[in-house]
Amino acid sequence: MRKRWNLSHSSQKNERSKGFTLAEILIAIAIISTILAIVYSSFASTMRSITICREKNDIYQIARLSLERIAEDVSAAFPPKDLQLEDIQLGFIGEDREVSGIPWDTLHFISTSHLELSNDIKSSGLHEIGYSLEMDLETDQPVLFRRQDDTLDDETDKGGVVLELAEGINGIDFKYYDDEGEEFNEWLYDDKNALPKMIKITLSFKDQDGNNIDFSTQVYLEMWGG
Amino acid sequence: MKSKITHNIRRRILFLGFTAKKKAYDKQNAGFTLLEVMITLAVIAISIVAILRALGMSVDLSYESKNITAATLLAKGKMAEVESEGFPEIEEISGDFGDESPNFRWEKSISEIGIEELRKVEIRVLWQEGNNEKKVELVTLISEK
Repeated sequence: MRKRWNLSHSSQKNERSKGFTLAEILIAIAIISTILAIVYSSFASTMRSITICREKNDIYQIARLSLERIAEDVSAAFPPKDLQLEDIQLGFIGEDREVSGIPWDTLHFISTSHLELSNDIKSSGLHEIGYSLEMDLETDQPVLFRRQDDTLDDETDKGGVVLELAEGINGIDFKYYDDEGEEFNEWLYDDKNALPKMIKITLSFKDQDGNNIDFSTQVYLEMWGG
Repeated sequence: MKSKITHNIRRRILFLGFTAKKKAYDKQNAGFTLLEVMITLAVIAISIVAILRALGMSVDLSYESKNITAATLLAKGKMAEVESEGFPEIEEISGDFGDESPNFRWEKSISEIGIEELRKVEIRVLWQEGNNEKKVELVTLISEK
């Protein structure tokens, strides 16, 4: 066998039993920890962007579902005058409000579209429906509520079952258009004696950075007019 | 002790293959050649790039799904406008949504389908995503009341 190449006198042990020196271990640890640090930081930033994406996607989903619900109810809004009921004054009450800089509109109306919340067969097919924001006292954040009253009465804006529709909301705005295309911020049936022809709904949501994301769509009211 | 450490470091450096005295090693002791190290680095680099691209793609996809949601809402709104205007005239026009949604523009085409009382309404909402133009299209028929 060829003689092993040797730099110094110290390597008299045979090659097999020779371990790592402290310096080698330290260098190896330094290299490995550098690599781990790099991998971990990229992994952490990936996880962070996944979380951000997921929260954003949640907002988009809640917004889409809420807007679809509101659009369906509003598009089937029923003109109060068409209903001949004794002593009952029905309405369409769209009020323009603002609370601490946030659009805080409310809308109460009669609609042929509804959710079946009870198994009462006698329900008439017409329902009072209302949308409004309320402040959640625990989180101090606005929450969007949908109200449905299966009994028609004088007070179109009160009574019935109130269910939470969306959290994380930061404003709701309704704009009303008459048949001339003129824009109104509020619409009261008692004043106008007609339903608007079109309604623009805008929902604002707050993302985790505190920025507003607006979602808006327009709805054509099939039974617009008087 | 000190000389042993420096000696060992030197041996390690030699072991990486940066030496002209390579021939002095026996086979068992021979290190990696520069070529081998380069190939390894290339393989690692390519796989890291592939992983990063996959991550980037999922972020892109979530971005696209957000744009689709926004575009669909805009298209629905545009469709409501057409519906509210009654029986539509045959035309082909386009426009934008102004300052509210500056990234999107719309195209509207109204055509006949061979039945006198029906008109076909197509609403397209388009936006730019990277180098590609994406769109959402809604189609409906409107009858003469």
